[in-house]
Amino acid sequence: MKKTLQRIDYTASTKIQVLEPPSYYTFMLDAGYTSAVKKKEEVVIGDIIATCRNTHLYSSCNGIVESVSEKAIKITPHEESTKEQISPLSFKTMERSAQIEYLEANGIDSLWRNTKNVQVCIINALPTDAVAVQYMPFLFAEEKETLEHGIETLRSLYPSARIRCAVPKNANISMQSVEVVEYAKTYPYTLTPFVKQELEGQDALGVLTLSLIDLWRIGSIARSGKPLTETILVVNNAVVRCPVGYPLTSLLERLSISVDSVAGAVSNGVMNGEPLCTLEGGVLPHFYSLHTFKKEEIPPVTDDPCVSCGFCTSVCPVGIRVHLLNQYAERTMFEACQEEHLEACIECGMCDYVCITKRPIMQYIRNAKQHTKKMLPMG
Amino acid sequence: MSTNNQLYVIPSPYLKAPLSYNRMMLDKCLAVLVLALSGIYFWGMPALVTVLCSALVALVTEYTAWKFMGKEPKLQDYSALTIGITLALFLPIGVPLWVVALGSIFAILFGKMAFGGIAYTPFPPVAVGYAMINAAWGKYLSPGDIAIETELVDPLTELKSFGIDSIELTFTDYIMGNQLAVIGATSLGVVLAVLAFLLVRRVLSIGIAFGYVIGITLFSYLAYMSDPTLYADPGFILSTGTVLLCLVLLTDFATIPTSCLSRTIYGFAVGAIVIFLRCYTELFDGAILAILLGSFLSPYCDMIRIKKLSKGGY
Ligand code: SF4
Ligand code: SF4
Repeated sequence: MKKTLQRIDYTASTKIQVLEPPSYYTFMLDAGYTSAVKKKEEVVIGDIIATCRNTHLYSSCNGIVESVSEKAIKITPHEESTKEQISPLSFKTMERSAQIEYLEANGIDSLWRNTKNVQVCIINALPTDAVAVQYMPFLFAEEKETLEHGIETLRSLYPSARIRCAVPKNANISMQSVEVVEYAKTYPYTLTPFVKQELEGQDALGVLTLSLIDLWRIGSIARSGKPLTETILVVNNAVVRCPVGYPLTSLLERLSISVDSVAGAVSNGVMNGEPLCTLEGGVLPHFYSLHTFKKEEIPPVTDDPCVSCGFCTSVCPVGIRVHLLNQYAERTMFEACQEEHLEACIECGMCDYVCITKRPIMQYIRNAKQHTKKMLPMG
Repeated sequence: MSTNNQLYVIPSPYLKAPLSYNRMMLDKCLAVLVLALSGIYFWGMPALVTVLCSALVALVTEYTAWKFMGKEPKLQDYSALTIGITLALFLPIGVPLWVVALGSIFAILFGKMAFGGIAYTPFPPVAVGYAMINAAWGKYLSPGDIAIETELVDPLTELKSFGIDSIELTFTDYIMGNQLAVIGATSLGVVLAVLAFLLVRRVLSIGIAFGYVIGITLFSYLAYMSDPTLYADPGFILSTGTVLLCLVLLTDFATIPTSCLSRTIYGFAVGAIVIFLRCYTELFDGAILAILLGSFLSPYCDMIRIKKLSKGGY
């Protein structure tokens, strides 16, 4: 595992790079977004260009909408715009409910509207993905100020809540304004309701969990008074501060990664990330990592039968008998899956990583989860 | 990028450990091949013929079976070859070739293919083939039968027929292969080396090997204590190769439990059955049948959970 993690070792030498602006921006409209702009329309930074229920996609540049399709909005930057710039909000003085609404519009959906119910707020810096494991300390080291802004905002949102930050053991992380709890000792870490219960010594009702990345997002919004139009992104082993909508191909070129050699790519982690099927799109607001693979680096996946070697079970951090679970899931025996504690799986991908017959175990598990969700009476 | 800007998509994770089943099967195949070569070195032509016959028949049987099932033959996972060679390892020379061939066919058909392939078989296929030879033509299975033609001594037959005092082999004899034994177990030295290789390559699990050796040692010691004139001491049992050679059969993942603890217990239980069969039955070498019987225990051993479900967080 260590060896593999070296591939994503970006902490040692890395400083956050700032990229030159690209020649165009492209905003992908998947996941239910509908465009809020028309062709040739002029936009400035912070304009809403697409919406999906109460979440918005904001323009990260001043420019002119070049094309709008079902899939994407393309904007060419144009500095001498006639449209007036949007002035920053004074976020910190806003009403609490308006603050939460604004954060939700920026895609931070784990906040609770009913602020009285929150007794404890745990900031989760216990990621399950290998990439995120290194991303978290990086944020602590490089973006402390933004994080402190985030914590300040949380304090004002939930004045009666105790705020704690859960980090891996021996992570040597200190924060001035919150209590840091060292929790998990080995990779993959996780923070599930059960862990929360252990941390709090009581039942987990009234405990709000927020990922560290979300805290950073809240911090940047509070700090700038502007919507989230950039993200800190790990690209292979570089870290960049990257505007949303930055075309992936230009991003790779800027970082001297040959686009032609890329045969596969995955965003938001390598262990449980989201695979990309094309490099045509741009950086999305929720991206925190992008890893590209040459053809020979893409691992094999087979539908060979499980030989019951038990390696997967021996690595599962939750203690699920994965050698049984994956076969039940493959054969769509969903009730048996539930008996094998399907819902406790944290999707860390370790079982899949070690599988000697290279079965897509996580995919089977996710599929089973989807189906069992439907089986529940509440849908 | 590939054509049309399309990327290859696989379900995450995008990282996978290098260890693969095919590599493990290749390791196992190499291991049994070395054992077979050692047998050929000690026994010459007759051993070569037995090994070749068993291996070829296994390959042809499996190929035909896949074709018959209307599927693409999967011979490249080395499993048919391995089963064929392994079966020959447990046979003494001088077994008629038609018996070898039938055993091999039986091992592949009823040990493996009838269950749908190596991943689903409840018993080690080799043990199935061996059991059938043992049941139908058991008289060919004692290496002692060819003792008339050679000076070498088969310690196990000697023990069965004449008691412990009749055996005069030294430890060096075992190591160097100066004994009468089945093809694969002639030299204890080679067997130990091959087992060490399998352990290092993680084909043979430490738990099983440990439990098995402890089980054998403990129960043979108990038997020895109860009547030293009748039963051999643990050192003797372990020196004869065949008993240890059986560990090669305990590498079929589908037939063994999955966790380290349950594997240790399973190994221990199989070890106990081996000694029991040796002491209380007429079998020359109960080990391989003990494994067949032991397979029934595998699911029960697997019920033991070492890891408590921690529901996240570790
Ligand atoms: S089943 Fe697999 S993905 Fe789920 S927690 Fe266990 S090792 Fe991780
Ligand atoms: S690691 Fe793969 S082959 Fe082994 S038991 Fe798990 S799923 Fe089956």
